[in-house]
Amino acid sequence: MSTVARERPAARPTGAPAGVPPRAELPAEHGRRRLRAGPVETVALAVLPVAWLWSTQEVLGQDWLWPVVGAVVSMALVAGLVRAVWPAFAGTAAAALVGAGWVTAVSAPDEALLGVIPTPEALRATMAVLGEGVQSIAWALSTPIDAEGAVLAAVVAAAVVLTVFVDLLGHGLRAPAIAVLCCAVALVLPIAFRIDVPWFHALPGVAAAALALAAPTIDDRVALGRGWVAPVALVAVAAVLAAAVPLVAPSPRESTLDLPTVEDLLRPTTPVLRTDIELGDELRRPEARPVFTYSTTDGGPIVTRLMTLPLAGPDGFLALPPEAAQPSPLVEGADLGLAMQMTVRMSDVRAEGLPTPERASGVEPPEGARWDDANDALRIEGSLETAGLEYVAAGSRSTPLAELAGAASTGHDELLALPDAAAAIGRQGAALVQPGMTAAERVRAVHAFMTEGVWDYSEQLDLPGFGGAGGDGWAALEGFLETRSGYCVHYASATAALLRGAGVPTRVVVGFLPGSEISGGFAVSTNDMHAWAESWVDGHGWVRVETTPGAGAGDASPSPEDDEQTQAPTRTPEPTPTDAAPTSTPTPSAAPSPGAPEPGASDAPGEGAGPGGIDPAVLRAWLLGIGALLLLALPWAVRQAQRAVRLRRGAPGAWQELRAALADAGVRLPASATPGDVQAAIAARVPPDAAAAADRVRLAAERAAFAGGPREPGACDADVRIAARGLVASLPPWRRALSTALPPSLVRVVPPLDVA
Amino acid sequence: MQADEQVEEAVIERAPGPASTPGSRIEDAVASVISGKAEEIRTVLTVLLAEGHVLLEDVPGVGKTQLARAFAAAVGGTVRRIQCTPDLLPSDITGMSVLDQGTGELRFQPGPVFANIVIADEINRASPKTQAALLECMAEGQVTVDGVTHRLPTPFLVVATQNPIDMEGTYALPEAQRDRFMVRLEVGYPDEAAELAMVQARETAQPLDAVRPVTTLDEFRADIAAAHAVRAHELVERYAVRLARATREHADVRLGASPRATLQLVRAAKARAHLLGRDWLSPDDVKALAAHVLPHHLVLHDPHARHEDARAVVAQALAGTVAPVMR
Repeated sequence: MSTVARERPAARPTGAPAGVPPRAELPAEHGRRRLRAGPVETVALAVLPVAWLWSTQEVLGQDWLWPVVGAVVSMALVAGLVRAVWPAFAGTAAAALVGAGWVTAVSAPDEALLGVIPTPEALRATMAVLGEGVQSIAWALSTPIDAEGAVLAAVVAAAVVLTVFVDLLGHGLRAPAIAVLCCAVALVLPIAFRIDVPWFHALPGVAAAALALAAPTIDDRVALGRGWVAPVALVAVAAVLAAAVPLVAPSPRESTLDLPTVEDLLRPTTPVLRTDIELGDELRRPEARPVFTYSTTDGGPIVTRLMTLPLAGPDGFLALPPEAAQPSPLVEGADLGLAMQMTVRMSDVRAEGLPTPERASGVEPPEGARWDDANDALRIEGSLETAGLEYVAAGSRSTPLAELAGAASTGHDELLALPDAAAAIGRQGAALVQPGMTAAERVRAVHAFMTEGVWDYSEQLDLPGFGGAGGDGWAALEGFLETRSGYCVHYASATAALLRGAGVPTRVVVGFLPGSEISGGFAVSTNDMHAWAESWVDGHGWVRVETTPGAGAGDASPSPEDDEQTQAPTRTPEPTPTDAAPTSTPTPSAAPSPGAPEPGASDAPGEGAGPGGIDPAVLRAWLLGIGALLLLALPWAVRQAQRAVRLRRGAPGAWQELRAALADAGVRLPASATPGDVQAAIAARVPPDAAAAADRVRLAAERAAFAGGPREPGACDADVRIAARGLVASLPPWRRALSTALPPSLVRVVPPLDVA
Repeated sequence: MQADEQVEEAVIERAPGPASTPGSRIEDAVASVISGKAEEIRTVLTVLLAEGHVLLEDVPGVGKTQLARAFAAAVGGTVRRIQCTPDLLPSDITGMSVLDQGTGELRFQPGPVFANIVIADEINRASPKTQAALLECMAEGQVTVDGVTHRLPTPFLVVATQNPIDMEGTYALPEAQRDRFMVRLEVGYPDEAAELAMVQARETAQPLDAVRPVTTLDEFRADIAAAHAVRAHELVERYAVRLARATREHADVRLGASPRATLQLVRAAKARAHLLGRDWLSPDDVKALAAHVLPHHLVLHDPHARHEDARAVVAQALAGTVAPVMR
């Protein structure tokens, strides 16, 4: 019988006024247990990260799918199991641990214990791999990016971070309203990656977000034994409507407003200069970033070489394996023209080589670099911090084609070879020349073929089967010669292959156009990256054969005064002005208006806004800021509207509003909670005056609902304000800010019943 | 007398004022005798207002009789005590007709049941026949002897006490009989402070003697009528019905709450609403009383189930029933 006293609920203090009902205090674990998500919501939140990533398959392919699904599913399972015993946050922490294991296993399995447990070395290796992966994605020149190695690690890491984020918000903080923000994915992706995302790729992401939003309601209805068809149908309709938006609305990339890109957001990343070329891929041109500045002893601009591709491989031109040697004069017994020296100051980039004059005659390799004689390039050994690197290189400019007089090309016969796949192009090149022609005449004949008539510059391939497909580069090049539409890589490769067929030893060079003039020298950005062909002509050495439309007439510009003549762009960082490219309308970065400074590009003094006008960059930043604020404030605004509507319904509406305010404060009482339970929960958290105000609202609402009392709007507004303020004040500041920005009550006020 | 004065002062301090109702005055008066048992006092007062009866199941000496006497004193009514034994006859309870020697007529001699508050001690020791007679009085509110019907006084409250079932020589109340009690209550031991206060209060005098009627019987009858007239919205009544049905559908329950239990629940809830100064029924009234009114009506599958198990079933029914939404 000793159990008798123990069982009794806490009695009302005898001194309490008779008018106040005894407060049935809820057990402590009551509220915490209520914070659990239902089964549908749990599934929806677990699906969300994968569905979101799914919409990027145009960029990242599908190779990441199974590793990511494995990571997300195992994280969700572990989190669910842990959450069955411990509080929700422990589940999130466990999921984060599992996710860290996955990232380690994908990025640095050899350094980790058992392949998954990170050690300090593994952590360092992981960070390095992730950095590489992020930069590979941000600076990839073509899509899709193969999700292998570092890229796969970056994608898995993104999925892990996303899963932890969703888990923390959805389960830990019970604010599934975050799903609203995920709806914006379909809008953001095309801008971020500068590609068109097919609407059906975004559909799973949108549907999962809609499901995550509706899941609490579905769980409630299932728990209450009501039909779940209606909310699921609503989710389907919402998903279809959201997915239909891209079909009817213009693509944000085509709007005149220049929205920010992922590169803008990832500004601190280091640009990657890739010197291998893919003939079958479309060009994806990242935002311009500074690569280096230089000054020359004669004050003129110069084309610089980053890497030479002498080998005609099975899929296009390739670099040879590096061959260490001392820098040697590249042109034996040739007229080197006017010798000059250039002083290079590097910005932070990641590349295999460093820029040198197009015809280098002597280089003092800086620490960490050495001369690669096989490819005539200044190679970087391992990884080198290029920021601030400074070195001097001597060399000269290429001879203009018109001045070529060489009769033959000797000593480089290995540069005449073409693979079988390119034999047709070789024959085409041979047909362009007559047997009696000198080497210089042959070069001029091929150059004429490549520049006369209509040749389009386009960063997108018009060839069926290409454009993101990869694969057979020579077939793509044949297609290019038929359609006469491509970008510098195609012009350089085609010219080189034709010249080889015409009997002139030729190779492809990847390097930079002279760049834009700044005080005391020139600045070269990533947009100045270029490729061209280079032929050996006795007496002249290596001669640049420039055939890309708009990139110069084949002559190096001897001085800045000859800008108009040589057409080498020195003001805009774009190597190929778009007026030469009829198909370039969908290329977003192709047409920066001449007056608008490129954000992040070399901010040359004097390149600001025109006098009297608003700087478009400033205007854009303001518009973006306002837009972001509006998006962030959306849940809050909806919540305010909800409150206004509720208060118009008189006392019962005011009571609903108080219940919502309680939910915002993190307390969700189940549907079985009576007004007294709600009142007790409020009173336990607020000062006495606010508790009394809440009680007045309760009595007014009960009188209106159960005794036909008055319902005029506004009578309870003041009391609601007092009580709601008390509830908000009971939260710690960070929780207050969170519940204001993402009110939990927006999604669900009354969680499902706890049916035994 | 010093302690008594303090108690009285306390009563006087809180008695006046617009919020003072007969109910709250009775509560305060009883609380001055039984300390630390506010919840139980409130429950018994609710039953008294709802014209129900209380079944106290508890060990001896925890103040059951004191509680009943204090109530009787506070309402200015009479209190009688029946000690139930196996040889107790029905007429020992109801009374009988006796020959008046002076007039030579048969005169009805009322039994102990004719009182405002009747304490039936150890009701499970009485024979089933006697139990039945008492329970009939409780249900009908009247006694019929020799073809003559005698009305019992109002208010009329039976406080039956019962020893724990596992004691020997008892006839446990059958379900049908238990059904007639509105509330089954355990008084329980007082906590340390209350027990100390009780010991100190009785050093000088019996606090029960100090209890004066705080209301008249007529006033109290009007209170009962007012409690009966509390408005019950359909939504709230439906909530009570759903609660009762939920106990019937529970997996552990062989016999759920009867419709009579539902009636008692609503009636008791109305009394609570009236005590709290409302003229409408709130879902909270139903919820608060369900834990007191419903459990003893349930029969669980497990023959060794205890009262706590039935209370757990009711708690689960409460957690599984949607409260009315105020619109």
